[in-house]
Amino acid sequence: MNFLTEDVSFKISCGGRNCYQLDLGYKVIDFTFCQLLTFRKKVLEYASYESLETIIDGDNFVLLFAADNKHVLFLEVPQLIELRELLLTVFKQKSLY
Amino acid sequence: METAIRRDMILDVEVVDLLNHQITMEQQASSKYLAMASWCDQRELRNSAAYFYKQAEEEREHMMKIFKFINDNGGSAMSPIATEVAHEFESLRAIFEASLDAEIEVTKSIHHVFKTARKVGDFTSEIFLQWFVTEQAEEEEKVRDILDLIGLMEDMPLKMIDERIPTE
Repeated sequence: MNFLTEDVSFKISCGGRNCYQLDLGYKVIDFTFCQLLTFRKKVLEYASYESLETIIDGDNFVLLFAADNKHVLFLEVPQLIELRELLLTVFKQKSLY
Repeated sequence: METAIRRDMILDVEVVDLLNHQITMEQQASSKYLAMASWCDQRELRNSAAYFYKQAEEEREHMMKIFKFINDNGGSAMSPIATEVAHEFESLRAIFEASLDAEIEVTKSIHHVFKTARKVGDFTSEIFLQWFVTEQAEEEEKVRDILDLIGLMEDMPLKMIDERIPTE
């Protein structure tokens, strides 16, 4: 599954059960499913309207730890929004059964 | 990707988000009850204090039940952060009224998760939540009964009212 923007190209793929990769273009991060869920929650929180306002009023970027603090991501607001869209798309399930 | 996620988790991710929110609600309710228990304990209202200590434990048990459910079904449960709770109350009646409001808030939240689980076809969560729907109805009724009792005994000394507060 690809998500392309003008400046960034994020991609999440699945390499088997409980094994996911987030390709940020410049590096690939391995996630277990639960790590991906935690990462998704963090991104959604940072990309909420209230949080984005705070980020824009402040430094205009966030440092986000991922995969049990093995990685730290420097994300500016457009990247954060794109990552949010990607994660929402990936987790969108039409029906469980 | 949809299949891959389904192989890792039976629950719907939107429901998991709401269940995590519910964990926070239950923890918050537990903290509120602990503050109420403290207020009663300081004023030697023994039965009321025992009632609220028990309620605080119950809310924590509810929280843990949801916490385990999420993790046992492939999700990621988040340890909750309780925000500031009130430690000052005007009267015993005010405490029980605040307690009823807290229960109503929790009930509304449970119903919202339940409705969402049904809407997205997450039957595992829906069935799990049925117990909470029944439990909340009982919890609300318990507080209403106490408020009725306080209403009936309004002119009696506070200690006598406290002696009739159920601790079981």
